Amino acid sequence: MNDVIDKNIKLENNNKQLFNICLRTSSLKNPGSIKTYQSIGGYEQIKRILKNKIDPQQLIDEIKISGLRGRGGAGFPTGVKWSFMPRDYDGTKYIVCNSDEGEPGTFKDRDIIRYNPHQLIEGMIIGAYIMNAQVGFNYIHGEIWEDYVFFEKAIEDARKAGFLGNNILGSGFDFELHAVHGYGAYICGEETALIESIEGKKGQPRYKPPFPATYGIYGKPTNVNNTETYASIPWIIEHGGQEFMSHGVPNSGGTKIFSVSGHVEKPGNYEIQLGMPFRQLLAEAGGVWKNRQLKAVIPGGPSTPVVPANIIIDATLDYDGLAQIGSSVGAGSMIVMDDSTCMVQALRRLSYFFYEESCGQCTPCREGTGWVYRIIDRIFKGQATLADLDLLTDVSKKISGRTICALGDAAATPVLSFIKHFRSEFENFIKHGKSVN
Amino acid sequence: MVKIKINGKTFKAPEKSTIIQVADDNGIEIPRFCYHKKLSIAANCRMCLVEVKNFPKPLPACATQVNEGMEIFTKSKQTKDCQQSVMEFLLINHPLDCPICDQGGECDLQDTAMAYGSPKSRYQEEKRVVLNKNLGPLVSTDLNRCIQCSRCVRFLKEVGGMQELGLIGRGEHAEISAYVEKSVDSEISGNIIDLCPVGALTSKPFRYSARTWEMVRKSTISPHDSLGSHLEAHVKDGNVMRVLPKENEDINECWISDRDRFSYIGINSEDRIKTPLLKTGSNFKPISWDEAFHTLERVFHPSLNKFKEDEVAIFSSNQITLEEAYLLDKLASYVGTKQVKFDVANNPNLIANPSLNGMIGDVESFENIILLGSQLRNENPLLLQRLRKMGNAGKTINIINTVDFDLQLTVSNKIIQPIKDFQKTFEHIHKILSTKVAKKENSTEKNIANLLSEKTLLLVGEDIYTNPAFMNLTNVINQLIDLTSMKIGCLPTGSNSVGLQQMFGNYVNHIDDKKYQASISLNLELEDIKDKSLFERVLKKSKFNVGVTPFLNKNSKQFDLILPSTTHFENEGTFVNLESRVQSFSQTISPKFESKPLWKILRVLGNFIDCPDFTFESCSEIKEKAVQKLSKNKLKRFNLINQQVKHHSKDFWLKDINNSDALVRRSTALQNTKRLRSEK
Ligand SMILES: Cc1cc2nc3c(=O)[nH]c(=O)nc-3n(C[C@H](O)[C@H](O)[C@H](O)COP(=O)(O)O)c2cc1C
Ligand code: SF4
Ligand code: FES
Repeated sequence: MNDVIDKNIKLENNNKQLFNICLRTSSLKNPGSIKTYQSIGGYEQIKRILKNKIDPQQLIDEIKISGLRGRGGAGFPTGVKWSFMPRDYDGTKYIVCNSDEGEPGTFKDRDIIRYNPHQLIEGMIIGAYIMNAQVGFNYIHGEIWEDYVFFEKAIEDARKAGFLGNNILGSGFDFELHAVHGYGAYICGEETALIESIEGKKGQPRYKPPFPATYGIYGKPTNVNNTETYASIPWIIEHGGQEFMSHGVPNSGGTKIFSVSGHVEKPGNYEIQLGMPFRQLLAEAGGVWKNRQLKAVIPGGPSTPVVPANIIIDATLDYDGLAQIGSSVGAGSMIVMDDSTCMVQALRRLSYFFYEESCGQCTPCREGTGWVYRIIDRIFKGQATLADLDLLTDVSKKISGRTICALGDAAATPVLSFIKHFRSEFENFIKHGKSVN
Repeated sequence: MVKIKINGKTFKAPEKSTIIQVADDNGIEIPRFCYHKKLSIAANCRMCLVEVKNFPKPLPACATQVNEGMEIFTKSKQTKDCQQSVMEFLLINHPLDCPICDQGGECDLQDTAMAYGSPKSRYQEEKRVVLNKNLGPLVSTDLNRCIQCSRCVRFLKEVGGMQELGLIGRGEHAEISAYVEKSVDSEISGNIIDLCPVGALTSKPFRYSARTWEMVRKSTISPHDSLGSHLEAHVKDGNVMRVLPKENEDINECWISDRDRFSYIGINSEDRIKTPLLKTGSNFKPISWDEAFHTLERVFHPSLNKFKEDEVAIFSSNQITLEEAYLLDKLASYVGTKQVKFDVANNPNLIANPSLNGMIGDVESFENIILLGSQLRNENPLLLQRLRKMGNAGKTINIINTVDFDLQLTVSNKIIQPIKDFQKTFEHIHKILSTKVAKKENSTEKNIANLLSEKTLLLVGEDIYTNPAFMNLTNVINQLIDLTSMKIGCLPTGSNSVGLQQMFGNYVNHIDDKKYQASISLNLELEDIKDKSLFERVLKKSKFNVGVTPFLNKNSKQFDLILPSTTHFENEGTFVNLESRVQSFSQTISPKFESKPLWKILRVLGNFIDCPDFTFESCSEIKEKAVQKLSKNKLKRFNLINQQVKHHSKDFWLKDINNSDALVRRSTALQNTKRLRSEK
């Protein structure tokens, strides 16, 4: 496996590059200010929409053409999701931006809030206009207090500039946006748990159906989208769906931020045109650190399956490209592991996360995640037998697909993929009681 | 209706019903823990997962609505695998301490594990430990056994009206807890014992005293409120070990109040009177029943002691049975008295037929309820629970009262004022409705006026309809009935209030404050009586006082002769509940010591004093006669039957649910609960 990577390999037929849409202000001075955003044409789209009273259906069509898919993990087409919101509902409707990013390795939404909050706000106003919602919330991860404070200020600036509140820009359209400070539970990123949390309750997922579009905050129609999803909207409206689409590849329109972490020289957020070869992103991130060899990659965050080096090395980073190699884009939280990584230890850490973060509501997840962690811990402590590997797989399969929300699946995914691809390493560990790397 | 298939067989099912409902209706078994037909759906235990054709994942039967053509498999490989895995998950952290668990033998987890689980566990790690909580004197916790089904949480929030329990902590650390340092104080809290599918919540008073299979089930009717809840007393060795609800959708559904559940503890109180007692000097000496009846004969036999009119005063609890009332009525006329207070908890009677006027379940079919007076939380917690349900379903509950009770439900409009102002309020409402000109007015009265229609039920509490001030109200309310077709009902509180009203129709429930030759008190204590001072004065002046009661109490000294009657559980008879439903019950245990059921005492007394037609051999024989005296009249308007009420005591009497009768008062568990502090 060690020699599959040649950093200098030529990338034939590739025209994909880094391209900033959501992070387009990040290289400017004072990137997060309303002035900077307006200097690059910010808030012009909502002005144009309100002035010309553009038909929401037309805007939804544009978003459908753009191929924008939810950036929170599930990749559901955004245009389609927005058309689920009942338009002629009389009563309050809500839209929610999900900036909870609690999964290990995700840190992209924070940069949007820090460096381009107004594009997010404009995206939400446009969303509110399209879905005819009166109130919006941005639910911000609990451990980034300064960024929450910063976003509150951005809201204040937008309100002062007349983009929020009643009768926005004299159009008769009302929309109020609030920032909500989460309390650091991964589960609150799950959209229905997030809704419960906004309502002031303990963050626990609701059983779906009913989906938020029919029964959301306080039982009212509610739309939930990821930060990056909302932040893409103004650009799409400005440049047209076709243009956005053309930055990516069919079925994966536009750009996507990958938060690259782990054993690379230059970890950080990279907004790429979808379809970029993995090799290229790895090179952008400075390659595997310390001149070591690549061992494996978790492309989209711990809830997406791990992929060994020899498989991912030729893959392209887009929804189909990653699906073909048995993984997925997820939230784009790419964790790179070099050849010194002990997979048992890595899995133990990931499983501990899901064990700690299970909300405890439904049986398979509550009981199963702890069991899984304990078996892996036993392997790690040299107290396991080979039969435990089958037990581990079996227990994980019995969690997967049987829980209220997708956290159960997320917890089972690393276990099943790690054992699938690195079974021999686990077996060795069990036989020798330690890592044999 | 939609057509679906379960295990290949076709069934018709109402639209929007869930898979589990259809399965239950058709006798197809689907195991479950969190689902309960009276609670919201949580879908958290996952025991009910079933395979459904064309769905990649198994679906929870409790939360999945059926669709036309849906094909469900409750016994397929996938379904069985789900059931077996959920069972295994549930048991890994469960202590499996069935031999020392009170739930053993009647445990859903135990039964389901036998049917769907595997005999062996693959879990070899440590089990979770959860510390127990003190939830008060009624419910005992063993939280290691909890399976986090959240039934108890949902019950207290949705049915009890206040979220007194919650699941705190995440993941494996999730545990049931009350608020810091708080107990569970709902007046219907004991139902969580029945709801808990495992032994995590059990009855504190009953703990470790019997196994389910050792007890005989005896049905009875609740003596503590006018709902007439169906109870099941579990009896071992001649003692009631515990009381559980007997499901009856029309009355108590599947619930009972804590007072119904735990009053049995009073049966064996140290206050129980063992034999008849005769006062000699300042002491009592035990005598035989024969001596006791001879004493009574000397006082009441017309040939020995001819009373003039109204020289005997009779005080009775509103819990005596229809049969007892029938005999009492005969005895009263025989000794020539009309001085009978058959419901000592209330003022004299004012209106005809105070009853619910419709069935309990019908209450829920109205869109608006106007509650005029009443202290439902103290008087009738299960009826209150129905109103709460209506409030949760978006119907309006409106309150006009003299005291601002916290009923723990959603109230749409509320007027709190002294009773003398009620008339003004109703006249105002009437004016709003009868003057056609739409006046611009923003008032609670206007809101209420707008609600009045045939979909509105005005419920009048006992405090109000027995208050002389109510006489001024009947007129305007009757006019409102004519104007809006709204319906009315009354909320009597005693288990046999309605029966006694009808049986004693020609008495006004009143006793003059004067000197009597003799008095008789039936199954009551000073605390049960609204006008305590009158009672004490009458007994003080009267020459001979007879007390029939199961228990010695503070006012026993005032009696010259005490006869030990039984408690409710040792008695048989008939109650007429607030909706005029006639319900009979039999003994659950035999009388303690030498106590006798009140009806037998009255029956023998009748013989001793040669009262005619006292030849009844059994309670049911008396019942046959008694029910003939019940009136069938419905309450359509308020008709005053007694315009000359001279004496009445103070307007308002705050009742305490755990101090409502002699038995409840002697239930140590109930006495240790936090008293309701309903006044805000
Ligand atoms: C356990 C769990 C955690 C999640 N955390 C996040 C999160 O932090 N941020 C997010 O945008 N979506 C998260 N999601 C996905 C959301 O439920 C939801 O699908 C998403 O916010 C929809 O937005 P999108 O369509 O723009 O992707 C999570 C889902 C699960 C099951
Ligand atoms: S205590 Fe009983 S009813 Fe409450 S959640 Fe636990 S198992 Fe369910
Ligand atoms: S009974 Fe359906 S999930 Fe618990």
